[in-house]
Amino acid sequence: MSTEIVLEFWEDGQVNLEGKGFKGQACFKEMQFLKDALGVETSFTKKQEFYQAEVNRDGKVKAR
Amino acid sequence: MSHYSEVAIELTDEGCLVAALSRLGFKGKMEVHWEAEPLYGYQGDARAQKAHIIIRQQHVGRAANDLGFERQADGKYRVWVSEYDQKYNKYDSAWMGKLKQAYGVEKARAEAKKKGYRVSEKKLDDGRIQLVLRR
Repeated sequence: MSTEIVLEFWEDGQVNLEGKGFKGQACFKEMQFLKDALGVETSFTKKQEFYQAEVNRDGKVKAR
Repeated sequence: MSHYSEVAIELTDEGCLVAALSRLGFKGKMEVHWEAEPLYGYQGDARAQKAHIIIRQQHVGRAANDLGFERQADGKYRVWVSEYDQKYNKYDSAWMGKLKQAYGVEKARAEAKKKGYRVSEKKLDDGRIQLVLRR
């Protein structure tokens, strides 16, 4: 499944970031550069997929 | 998806701030200085405040004062807007929100391109601006 990051910028200066198609903490790592660049993170919500194991290209499950 | 984040935008990047101000109609109307320069009031009087990015009063509005962005030691920009211009020329908190919105879009686009993402931008009906990053 392909991955993408969706950002929605509100007129009050807040931005919501959402990772789609990521498994496990890959999403967290991939989006960190945007959070660092934009400002201060004010809330964080884990979705179900956050707790799913990351699977390497060779099919091995990464240790968590 | 695996998580959502909400971030409060801070102004730290000169190029993106200039690009954001251009989005709000100030293209070609800004001064950018290496050293902070004084701001002037509507009567031509130099104010105590200085700024690195300045929009002079003639571009701000009727009977306006200069509008300035001063880079602080921590890299964040402090915004100088007179009380008069906040109240009568609409450079209020709503305008600041739109400036941060435009800045955030420019900053995210710039950083995403450095990382090799393709970026698409869409303005939504409720005023939000959506960026989708793919690679």
